Amino acid sequence: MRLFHQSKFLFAVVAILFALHLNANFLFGGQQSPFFLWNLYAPPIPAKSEHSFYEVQFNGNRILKLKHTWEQTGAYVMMNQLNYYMYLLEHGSGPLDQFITNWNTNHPSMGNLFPGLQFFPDSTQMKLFPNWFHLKLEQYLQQPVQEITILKTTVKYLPNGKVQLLSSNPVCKLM
Amino acid sequence: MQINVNTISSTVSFKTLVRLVMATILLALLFRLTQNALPYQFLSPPMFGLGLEMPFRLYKFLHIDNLIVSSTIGSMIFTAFLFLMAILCFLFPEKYYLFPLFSILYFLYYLSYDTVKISHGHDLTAMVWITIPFWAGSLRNRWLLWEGLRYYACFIYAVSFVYKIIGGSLFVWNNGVNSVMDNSAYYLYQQPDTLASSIISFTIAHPLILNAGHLVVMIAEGLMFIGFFTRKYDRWLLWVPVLVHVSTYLFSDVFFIEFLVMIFLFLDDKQVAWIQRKFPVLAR
Repeated sequence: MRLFHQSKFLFAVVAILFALHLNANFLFGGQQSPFFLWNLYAPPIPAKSEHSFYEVQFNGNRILKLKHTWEQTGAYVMMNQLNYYMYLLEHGSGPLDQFITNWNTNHPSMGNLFPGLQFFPDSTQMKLFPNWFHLKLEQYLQQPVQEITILKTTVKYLPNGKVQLLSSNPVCKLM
Repeated sequence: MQINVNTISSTVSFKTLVRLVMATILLALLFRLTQNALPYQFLSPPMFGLGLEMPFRLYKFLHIDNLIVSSTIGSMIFTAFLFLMAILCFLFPEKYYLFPLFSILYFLYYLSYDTVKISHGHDLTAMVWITIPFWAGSLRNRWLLWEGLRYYACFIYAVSFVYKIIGGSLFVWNNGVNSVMDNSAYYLYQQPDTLASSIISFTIAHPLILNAGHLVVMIAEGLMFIGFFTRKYDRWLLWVPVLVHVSTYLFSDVFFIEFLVMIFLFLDDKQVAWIQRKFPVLAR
């Protein structure tokens, strides 16, 4: 109320921002940055007997080892790109692609707002990926990289909280 | 100008707060520079993720990514401009017209980062929101927006707590250990001999620690409701975001440390005076 008496314009701005937040969280669930859902880790997380992930093998048998999350901001870009590329290779489309396509169809006013927009990477981007990953890996390691193989590794937890390797197999040779 | 006797109340104090925020943003940008996480360091990644979000779609539709990410020169100029604006905002905290430009630049960085990491994690959102009160010209309006943003910070954590009730994770005892096991498998496998791995493995073997810790963090989020009704406990409430983000960093591989810029919203006169004494450059 103090803001309303002080400046009607600012009050209107704050009211609109608040309405957009309420919309993102409670009304239509329309998360639109920077208004977003605060529901990270809200659903129960099921226990898993095995955990799988991709590893990067380079220059013979060397494995890319990422340190703890201090490096996450940069590692995110490199590893999320890789994970997405591998998912596309394995499944032909991204994990949310069908959901997004359906949503666009069911919400034409929003889905068709930007005509001609490419929503997902296509074969052109797929072809560019190995070379980009090579450059990014060299940037991260600060050394030349001659060959890159992607491994799919599966581990399980032991009662002492440590992990045990179940399998680690090459699934893709990037260069 | 006295706005509220219970809160920070002088021009000098607000200048200190602006500088504190901008110094934090600058440090965070420098940190990202060391992590190769700024636009010119992306090296033009081919994969992208737009999701359902219109700002991301507009960003891609207008080919802004071609200008500030894909183009080597463009991305370098953009990054330099981002730093320059942050420095100018730090040096001239009262020049309110600088801040909208900085906020827009930072938002563009945020869109480009989340697009290329193909995950709309929103870890940079707080950095955008915290600069909005500085858009106002008058000191009084700046204070009012600052105070409003404090309520927003309470809203963030309180709503997270509500979602954990609606989603059900509050009532699943093993959620703590399941979350840590899921997020830490890669790290524990790759780095089994570090101190962090030893601690994480120990807590997984003794899940009571993780499950109880998880519950404590969720309840702490719920405590932010108190902030809607009084500022009396702000000096304690500011530790809630610290607890949330440091614990998720240590145990769940979630690095949302930049969100901690929000804790400045909970500082009172005494704390700002202490900062001014310890870091006089922020009050000059």
